[in-house]
Amino acid sequence: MKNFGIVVALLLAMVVLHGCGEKKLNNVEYGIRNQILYYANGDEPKSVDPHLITGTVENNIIINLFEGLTSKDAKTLEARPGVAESWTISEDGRVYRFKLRENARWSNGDPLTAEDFVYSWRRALNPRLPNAYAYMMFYIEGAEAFYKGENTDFASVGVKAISPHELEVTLKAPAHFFLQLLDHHSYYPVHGPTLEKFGGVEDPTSRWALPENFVGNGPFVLKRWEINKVVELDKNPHYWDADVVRLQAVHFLPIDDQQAEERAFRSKQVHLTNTPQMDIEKIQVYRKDRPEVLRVIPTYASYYYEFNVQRKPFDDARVRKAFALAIERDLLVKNVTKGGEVPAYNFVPPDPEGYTPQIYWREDVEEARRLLAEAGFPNGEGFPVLTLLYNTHDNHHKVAVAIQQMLKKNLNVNIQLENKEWKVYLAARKNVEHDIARAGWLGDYLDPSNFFDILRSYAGNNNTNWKNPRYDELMNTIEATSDPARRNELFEEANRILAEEMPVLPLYFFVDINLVDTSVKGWYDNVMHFHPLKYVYLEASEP
Amino acid sequence: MSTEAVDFDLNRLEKGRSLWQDAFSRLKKNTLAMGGLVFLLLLIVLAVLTPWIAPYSYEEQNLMLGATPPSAEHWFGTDIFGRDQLTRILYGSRISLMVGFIATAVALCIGVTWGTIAGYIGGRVDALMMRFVDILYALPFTIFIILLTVVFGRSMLLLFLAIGAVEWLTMARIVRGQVMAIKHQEFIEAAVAMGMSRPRIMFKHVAPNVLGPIIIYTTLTIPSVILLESFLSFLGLGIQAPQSSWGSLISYGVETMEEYPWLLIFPALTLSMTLFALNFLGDGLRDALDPRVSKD
Repeated sequence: MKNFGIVVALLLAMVVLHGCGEKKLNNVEYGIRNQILYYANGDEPKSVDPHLITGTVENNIIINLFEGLTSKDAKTLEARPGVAESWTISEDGRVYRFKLRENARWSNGDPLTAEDFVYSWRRALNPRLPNAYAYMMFYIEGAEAFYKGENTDFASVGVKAISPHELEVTLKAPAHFFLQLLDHHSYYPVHGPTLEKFGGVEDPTSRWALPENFVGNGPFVLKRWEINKVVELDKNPHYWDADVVRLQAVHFLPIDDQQAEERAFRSKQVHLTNTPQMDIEKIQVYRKDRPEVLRVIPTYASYYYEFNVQRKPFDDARVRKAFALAIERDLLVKNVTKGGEVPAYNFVPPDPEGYTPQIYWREDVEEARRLLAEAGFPNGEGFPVLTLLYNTHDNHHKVAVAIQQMLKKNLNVNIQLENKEWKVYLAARKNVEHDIARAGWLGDYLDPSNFFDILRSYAGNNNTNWKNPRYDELMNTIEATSDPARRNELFEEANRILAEEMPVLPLYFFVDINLVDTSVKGWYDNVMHFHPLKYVYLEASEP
Repeated sequence: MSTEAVDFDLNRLEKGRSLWQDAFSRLKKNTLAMGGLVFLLLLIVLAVLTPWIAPYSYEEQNLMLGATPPSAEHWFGTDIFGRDQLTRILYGSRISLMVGFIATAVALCIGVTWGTIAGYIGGRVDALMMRFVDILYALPFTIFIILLTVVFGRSMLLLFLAIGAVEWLTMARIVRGQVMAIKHQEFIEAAVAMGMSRPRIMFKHVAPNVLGPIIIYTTLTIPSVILLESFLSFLGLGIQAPQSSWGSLISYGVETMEEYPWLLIFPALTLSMTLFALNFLGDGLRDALDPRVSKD
């Protein structure tokens, strides 16, 4: 009997302890209690070096690790003071004079000065650094020549530190979006002494951006990075505005599987998802059952396929055009992507600030067949089997499968699908090893030039091998033009060239579809998928 | 009546019965095994005839229709692209069965030969051959297959060979163990004494006597190979969209099982029924083929 008593006691203890185990807080509750945000970020970031990254996955993290001269408002996207507390713009709109904060600091406590910006921008423009975004800085006088090696003296570039806290920037031509652009990662400052310690400015594999060495100037610092597990950010105590930062830490989880992501959200393992698209089939369920957490936002972003125009037969514009004309975009957005995307007949999305591109073509299967026949492939005969590359992701797969079939049905052309993991996919595109590749572009600032610039002959993000001197010339003219009406005319001309040449195949304009727990405050919807965490905090919703 | 029966029996006795006749007559008595066999034959016939009997095209999409539950037009429902699920399962069975059988056959051929030789000859040859197997074992399988596909490109045939080339290792080990166990038995010694050549002993006397474990392991290999194919397809190495295999149908079905359960249920059901059939058949065959079971 004694033994029996002990057994009962043990069993009871087990039951009780087990109960405790079950009451263990999930990430969402734990996060609310400790101000730790759990963030589903879609994929493993390539790097957090602001001059090397290209993707939104990286950008989502990096906007919290660094701060530019200005800082975009999360709600309105207007440029607000960042590291610069104020600025003046010359009459002709070309010379900006920034007054930097006296109390701006690096995360190791070093003061942040105007020299740091000169150093960083010089690095960003270093032709030996594989910075795909260098062209974003060509608005600055002399930047392009310096990048192309035509001028090796950085003094010729329009960036000058007048005093430790005064920076003067001279532009080639007035650019109304320049203040906004300053919050782009290519303009972020990097910490010189740290870079020098780990291999210098030109080393793309430098270890300076690893957690143990990292120095930044944003509201958060890089704390821990476990590959395929988590990127952990801690609040930066040296940040000049640290008082308003309420989150203590952020955990970015690289969940690249949408089902897993949605389940993680449902089981309260993450507060929010911030990935391009969520699981398509789940959208309807959330619309019906939990509309309060579903955020559907039209975005200044384009989903398209890029051709390798050097690969036969894509060297023939008629073939590219035939492909574009043969895809039924309405069917695609209504029945495959299902998120309310807008079918695209232009590469550039309509700009919320004014420029609406004209449409020069629509789906036309007859015309597509005619063009293909003209290019030497009547009824698709003799057309080689080409490969469509996309990064491993369910939605991309679905779109690719639908398009594969449309091309087969409408043009009698067979294409193969090939999916690759994010980093491999980026590398393949960068080296233009593909025949056709999926691509997406999310506006970095609200101006059509952001989109058009990608297809300049030498742009780091032009993965098509397409080179058109007339187009480049137009882009240069646009840079030097400040009259909005004239700019729109020039944009339209560029748009017409794209419609004729079709180096990229527009599919649709994105909508952002994400899940955000009701406890997340200070998270605003905007057309640029821009979600800085400086003002975000967590608060339990009423019971 | 009675004389006739005796005559018949005498005739049969004169002819003698081979191992296979014997086995088949025993197999016929095993209902489960026969059921499995019939099911498999039916499946194979369906798979062969698919291009003529499939109600729809496996690749043609009807995006307007989308995913619909089973109905009179589409018995197994349609997938998110509006493709008929029944058709896709039928086409999938062509690939899955082919992968299952061909890859297993490859594994069987290499594995049994290797294992028998190593086990029978023994000594240094055995050590050498088995260390080779160990080395291949140590090679990470996925990387090996990826390497093969990178070098030789993506083709169905290569996929069969690659899977087979990896699956034979366990087979070789099992066979070797069995051969070691029986090679000192009297009937082998008798064969040696009678001056039979080594290869003849190995493949005439040794191999048939290890059939039991081989068959069991084969019936286990086929399903694992079918599943392996789906894993490779998921990695983008196996079959390519818009083709389907059971494995790929299931893996996509899993993703949408909450919204469209029929996309998971039907292919999963087909696969599991096939696996059951294979297991029953394998079980029956082993009983039937075991030469140690006394003849009735």
